[in-house]
Amino acid sequence: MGELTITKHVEYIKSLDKRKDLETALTEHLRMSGAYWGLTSMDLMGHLSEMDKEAIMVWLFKCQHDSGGFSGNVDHDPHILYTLSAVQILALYDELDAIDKEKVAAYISGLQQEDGSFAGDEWGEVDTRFSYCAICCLSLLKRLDKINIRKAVEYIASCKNFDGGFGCNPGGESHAGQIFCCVGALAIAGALDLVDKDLLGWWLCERQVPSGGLNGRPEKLPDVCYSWWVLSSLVMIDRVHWINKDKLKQFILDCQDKEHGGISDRPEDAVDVFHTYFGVAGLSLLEYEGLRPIDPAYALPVDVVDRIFYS
Amino acid sequence: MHGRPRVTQTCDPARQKHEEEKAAKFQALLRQVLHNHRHRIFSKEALLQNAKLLELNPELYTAWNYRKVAVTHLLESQLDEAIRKSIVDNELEVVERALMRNYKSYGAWHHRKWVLHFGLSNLDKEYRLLDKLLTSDARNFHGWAYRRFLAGISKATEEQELQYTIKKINENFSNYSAWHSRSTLLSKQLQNNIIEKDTWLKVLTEEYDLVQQAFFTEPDDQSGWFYLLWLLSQTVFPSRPFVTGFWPPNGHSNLFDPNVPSMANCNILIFFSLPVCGVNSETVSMSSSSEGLNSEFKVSWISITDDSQFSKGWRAELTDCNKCLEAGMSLTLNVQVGAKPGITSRHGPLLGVHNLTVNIELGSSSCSAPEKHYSRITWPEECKQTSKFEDSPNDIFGCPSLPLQRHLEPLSEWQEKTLTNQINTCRELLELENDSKWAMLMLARLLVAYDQFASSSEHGMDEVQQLYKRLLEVDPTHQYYYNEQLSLIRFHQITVDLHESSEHFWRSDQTQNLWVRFNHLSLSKLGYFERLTGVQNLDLSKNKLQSLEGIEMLQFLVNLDVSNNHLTSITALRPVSHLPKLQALNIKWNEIGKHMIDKNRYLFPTVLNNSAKKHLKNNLNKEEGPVHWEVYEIFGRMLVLRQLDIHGNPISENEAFRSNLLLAVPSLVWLDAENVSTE
Repeated sequence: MGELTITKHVEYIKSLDKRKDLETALTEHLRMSGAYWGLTSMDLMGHLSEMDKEAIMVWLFKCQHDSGGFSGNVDHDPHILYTLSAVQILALYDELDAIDKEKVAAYISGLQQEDGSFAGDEWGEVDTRFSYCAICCLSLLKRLDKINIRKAVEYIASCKNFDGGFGCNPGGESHAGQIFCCVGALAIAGALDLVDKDLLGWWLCERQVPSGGLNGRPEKLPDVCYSWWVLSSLVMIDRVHWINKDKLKQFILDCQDKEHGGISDRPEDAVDVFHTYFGVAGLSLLEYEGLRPIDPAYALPVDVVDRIFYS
Repeated sequence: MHGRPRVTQTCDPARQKHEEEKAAKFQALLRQVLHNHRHRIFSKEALLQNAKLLELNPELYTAWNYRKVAVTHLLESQLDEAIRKSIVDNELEVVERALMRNYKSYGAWHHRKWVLHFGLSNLDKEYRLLDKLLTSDARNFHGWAYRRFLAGISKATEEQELQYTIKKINENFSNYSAWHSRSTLLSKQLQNNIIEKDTWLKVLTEEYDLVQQAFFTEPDDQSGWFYLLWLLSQTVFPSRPFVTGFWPPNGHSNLFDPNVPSMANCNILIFFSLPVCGVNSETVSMSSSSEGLNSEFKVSWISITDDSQFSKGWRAELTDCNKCLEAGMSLTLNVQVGAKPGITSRHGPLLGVHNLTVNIELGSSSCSAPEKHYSRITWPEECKQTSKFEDSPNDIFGCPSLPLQRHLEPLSEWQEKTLTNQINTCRELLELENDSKWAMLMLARLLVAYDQFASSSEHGMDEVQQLYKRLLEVDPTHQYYYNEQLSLIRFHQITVDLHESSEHFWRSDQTQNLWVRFNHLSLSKLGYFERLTGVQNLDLSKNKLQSLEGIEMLQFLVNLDVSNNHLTSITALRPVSHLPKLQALNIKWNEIGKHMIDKNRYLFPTVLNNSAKKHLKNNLNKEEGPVHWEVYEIFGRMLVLRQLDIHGNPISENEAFRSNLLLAVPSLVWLDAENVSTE
């Protein structure tokens, strides 16, 4: 089995900030999540200290708005997706006390709808992804009491499908990314008993295709990002042994650009920080030697989560 | 990047320059649009710049926000209906161009829905456009979501939408999205009482016929099989909970002895098929016909998993029995589960009402009070003694027979016919496609379902075992799953007639304890715990267990041996921490401490999921090196644990762990071979 070329990936992530190519320009609106993916990958590989924390912090605070929410980059609008990423970055750096937690919590609780669901921002797009963002973020801030958690859980339950999976909204098809969001939110809310573990576990382990990779829905191509979405869900419901871990490990390693660093969706495709993070995080869940363990629900290193909740 | 081939990065400088220029141009346009947004500039030019930008990158959510602000502003000052309509139509065109660039753009789809809410658009046109999209990409879940949205605002009936799913399924049997949609629409019709219960059976029968065509056409395609699995769950497994067992068994006695702490309270246990809440003295009535006593008992019910609202097991403690009874007297209680409505699972209320009779006797039990000085027990595996148990197995369970009762409703004629049909269909398919994994798996599940409800048990189990063994060969990727199914069948076979042979019973020479031994059987999954309720000493050593889920049902366990298994973390012992009488636990030679990832971390309440009790957190001893919070969360609950054998796990070498453990479990006397009592 090939190896994870950690030094290459570290160099790749460090180089991202200096790029001036079109891809970088096209993704500037989600830089907050990009930063979270890059920094978490660095932490899992044990190289977080090589990033310029001070510069990141200065930039991060420039992205906070009067509402309390964070935007994906300076000059863009606030959104719950980037508010979670910002809080996760602060958690990585043990800097959660540097923000006005009440204000961030107020922004998020203001997005909860009558039926318990969450909008992504003031424009009202509702999706269970945002339920995860809200619950994960407020839990990290220890402000879950600011929302109606019972209703939030009920809404997620209403998105459960015939195959045990979850969709974006009631009636939405099961999708591994969405399943992570719903299972993760239920795990953090202490409501995993709502999940039909055997039914969902079987559906999830059927995502593994002969190449060893995982797809996100039946009859679809495998993609490294599902190494995280599927795997973390399987870990949370204790069914991860139902897949072939060695084959998946091999698939992720095959998606590396061993020359220039970074990981792609499938072997020989172009790399990006999103798939680099999901590849590294997936390998961490597979207990790849040399990587630090990641928490399947909060998507942060285990020691970061334990520091927040047990100290 | 999704689906984009990797290009060598050492491209020529000219190309790189060209790329950087493109990026700079895009950047300039983006800055301009963001500037217009910040300064609320809604000129024609500004809107055009924005549209151009979104065509280049539909993912720019702030640019969509700008359009919403602008459109709201423009519509506010415009009363002319034709102009208002043209403003809205223009937005739909912008979205259309954006979707052509990326039809998976969340922002673009949301903008379209937002625009439609003005009620100025032609919905037929929307349906036509959508149909085009779902023809070119039949699985696009944004498209399907948009169809649900349109159905909502155009008040389409479920029947119309069901027709559409049929159309898509007939175009391609492996359209999972369409099957999914069908299950949702049918469930909704059932829930809203549009389909009556009798019609539902007819509907299900038709669905079976439909899906059969699918898997006969494409036996390797998952879509039809997952749908069939759902139909099966609608046919035999009620989502409503039912009672699976009682302790003591119906008509049997419950001895108590106020002089023996472990027997001072009378326990009544009820087990359900699904976790339920709402078990209390209202929903479970208890009355006594004996004279001179209060005819109505008030007792408190607690869930055996004390920290969750929903539980499969509930325990009543009758604490004031000694006030009611004098030595030699006995009391007969009539218990009715479901006397009043209120017991419910996450999915529905209790099925039926269940009655049982319990005798309570004030006994002089044969058990003696626990010794002050606890002597280390020897585990069965460590004993040289080979003789097996020769007494009556009844002694094991403290009652004349094992509480094995089938509380399930027998199959209806329709169910029986449906299951038989499906079993035959799968067998037919297997004759055509010998190695069809899905046909084998489905047949195995159908046979298990049939066996569970059939009046004569066992006839299909050999076939099921054969099927899973073949699946192990055909689909080795899922070997753990198939082995777990085999383990469950094995465990079912062992426990179903347990009281009829003494094969698994053993009496210790040292302590005279009666043991039930299921050691060395390659078990990887357990079940049917309600059959073992009264067991006090259980040997599960030398198996392949990764999980002890369900063992909390064995509320009378005193000694438990799970050494030489595959338990991977302290948190895997969570079910054990619900055993109130557990004194000795053997977890030697497992894998605790070997793994970085804890897959049980979220399966029970802790501060990680905002539901742990505060005192545990306060107990953490930070001065004792790295904190093992699991020690407090798990071992800290084993209040009468006297002996823990943990040697052979990587964590047992850890000094911080050991010192945390001693703090967490003050009752502990023996840790491996070491006497750790402070007295």
